[in-house]
Amino acid sequence: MLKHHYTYQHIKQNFYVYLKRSFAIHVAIILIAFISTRQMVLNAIKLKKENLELVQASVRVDMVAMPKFTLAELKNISSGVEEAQDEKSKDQEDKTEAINKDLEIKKAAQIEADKEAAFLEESKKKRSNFLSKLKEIGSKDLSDKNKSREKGMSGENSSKLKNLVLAGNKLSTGVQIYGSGQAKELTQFQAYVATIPDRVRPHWRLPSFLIGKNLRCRVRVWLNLDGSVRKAEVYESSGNQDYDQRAVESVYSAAPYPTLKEEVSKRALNGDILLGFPL
Amino acid sequence: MKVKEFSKILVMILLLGSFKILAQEGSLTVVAVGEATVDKDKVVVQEPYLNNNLSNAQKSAVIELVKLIRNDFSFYQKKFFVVESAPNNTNSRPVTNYEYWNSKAIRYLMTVSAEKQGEGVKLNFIVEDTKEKKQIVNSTDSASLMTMRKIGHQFSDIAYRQITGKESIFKSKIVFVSDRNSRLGKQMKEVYLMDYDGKNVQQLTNHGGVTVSPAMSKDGRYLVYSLIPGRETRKRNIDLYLMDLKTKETHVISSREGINSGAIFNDEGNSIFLTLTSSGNAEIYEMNLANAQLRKVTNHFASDVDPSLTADGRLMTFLSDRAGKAMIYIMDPKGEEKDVKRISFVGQTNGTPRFSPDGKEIVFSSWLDNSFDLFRINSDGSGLIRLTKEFGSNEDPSFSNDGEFIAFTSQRVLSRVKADQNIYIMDRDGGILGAVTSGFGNCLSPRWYNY
Repeated sequence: MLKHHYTYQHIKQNFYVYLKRSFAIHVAIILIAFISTRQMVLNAIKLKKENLELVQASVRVDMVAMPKFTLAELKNISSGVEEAQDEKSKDQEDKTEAINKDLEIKKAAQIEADKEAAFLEESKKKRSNFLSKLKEIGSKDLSDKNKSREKGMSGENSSKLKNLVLAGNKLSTGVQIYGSGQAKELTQFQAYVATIPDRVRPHWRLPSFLIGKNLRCRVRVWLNLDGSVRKAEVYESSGNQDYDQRAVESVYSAAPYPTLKEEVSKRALNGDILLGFPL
Repeated sequence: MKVKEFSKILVMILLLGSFKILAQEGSLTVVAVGEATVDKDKVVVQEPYLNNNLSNAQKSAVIELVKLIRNDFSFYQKKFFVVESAPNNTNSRPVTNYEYWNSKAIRYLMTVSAEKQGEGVKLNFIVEDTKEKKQIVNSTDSASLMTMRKIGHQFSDIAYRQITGKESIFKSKIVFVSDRNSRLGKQMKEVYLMDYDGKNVQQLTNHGGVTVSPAMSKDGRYLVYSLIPGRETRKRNIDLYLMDLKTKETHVISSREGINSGAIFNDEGNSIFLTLTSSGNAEIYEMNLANAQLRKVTNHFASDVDPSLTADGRLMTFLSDRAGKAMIYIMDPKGEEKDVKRISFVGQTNGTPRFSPDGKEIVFSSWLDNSFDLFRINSDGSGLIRLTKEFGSNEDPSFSNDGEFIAFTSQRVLSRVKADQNIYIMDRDGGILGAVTSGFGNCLSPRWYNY
């Protein structure tokens, strides 16, 4: 009886001792795992930054000639260039249509944008289309960049980067972003987002004293299903409160935006849209 | 209990940490909205309200003053649109009908009323914001016929400051060199000073030789320049002169062997940065004006010339052929060869780098397509852009005090032996506003000052 009691006490005591030890060990393991993962991620981000800087530095040296065009000329590039660009992007569309039907939705979005601009002058319409296409191409590039950044983060791609640096200023073969299942949703979302700048731009006005100060800010936008703005807030400030405020106001006053289709609603509701003022 | 609490806290820490990482990884879709359009403000400067007791000469002077204010504001084409005004038939200022001006989309209404005061004219200048429906400037000053232009620029400056909150160019001046006194077979270049709009020209030097690279101190009291002596003197050395514009006294402050040239004042006005060739090759030195002591700023076997400082004096840009070609560099002028950084990597021959007042940009000339043209580059070496093209040969740029404009010389070849060179003003993006000198000989080396 006594022995049994003793054993029970003993076991009970031992149990708590071991429980505490076990808990401490587990906590330690989790903490170590957490800290080391975090450290790895931070290191990867640092490495990514360094690699980017390395690439940028190696590319910049390749500038060999003084610019031929003046700033004024660059701002008013003639319509001939626009048309050429138009054809080019049409070609691109034809190719991708064969691969993916979803582009039709993108086209529909563009037709909508066209309708919006219908009461504008013919030339203006052309220009806005051209601009929105440029914007699209711009956002495509960005997603490409994001992809390569992600790869760089895991560290697998560092040798590739080194090779790129060694090779110098070579043209990239580009990355096909249409086709895969995941990209489908992304493409539609981008097509939707690409229509937004055209709507915001007429409301994006600044008084003279804020022009030409090289300010830039970014505004994150959350939309409602009916295309109204749920929330718009400064994501990256320009440092000038007035400038930020006017950027946010232009987002609100340009509302409502086109109603959200199912494919794009998730991202738009989540505030995945970042508008750059000006970039 | 303790264990439970502890584990709760631990879970929270873990959750917070993981959220942070997620937010960093989250990819947002960025689209560019582009540059904003300017809300250009429409401005009307009304015909003056002239009291009958003014003499005819005074009346026409006040009418000129109003034209001057209009001209001042028309320089800021990116910000203001100066609308023609209808003649008024009264000689006293009526109550403003804000609704009328609002319906015409006029934002700012400026009026000048004048009446006789002793021998001079009492001027009342009022600026009204028609949107806010209130007076934003009400300034009274007395002027003589002689000071009328100065008062006009002052009024413009007050109005501009009130509207934009920034300093204007209206009271600024440009110092330059002209050869208008040259006679057949004898070249003479003297230093002149004019208002930024090309009026009110004064001759400052009278050497009968060739003066080059004039520069003024920030307070406008002192002028430095170099002199290439005329043929009649035996002396061939290029010396540096300092002129006190208040006392009109001139003396040589540097006469070392070779060239003593390209001097500019520092921010405080107690020393100058200049180029000397006494060591055998061109180097930039700082000279203390109180004790004439020299300090080497550059030290390189290549030639270093043409210094230009930022308004706060923290950075210096200069031209050097240390890369084999004339290229633009920046450095910390407080030390010797301190933090030298090459800015330009292109161009056959670059010249005259000049800092913008805020030190963020450098404007310079470069030889391209058989003439010099002007370019602008950020002072970190990025963002090279071309400003002029097919507009003669353009050199010697100089930023205005507010950084919005650039004065430069433009040369037109008229015949095989004759060319015409004048000072022009353009905005900082290369939009040419026009010549400010004409028929005043060949004008060169403009430098823009506000004091």
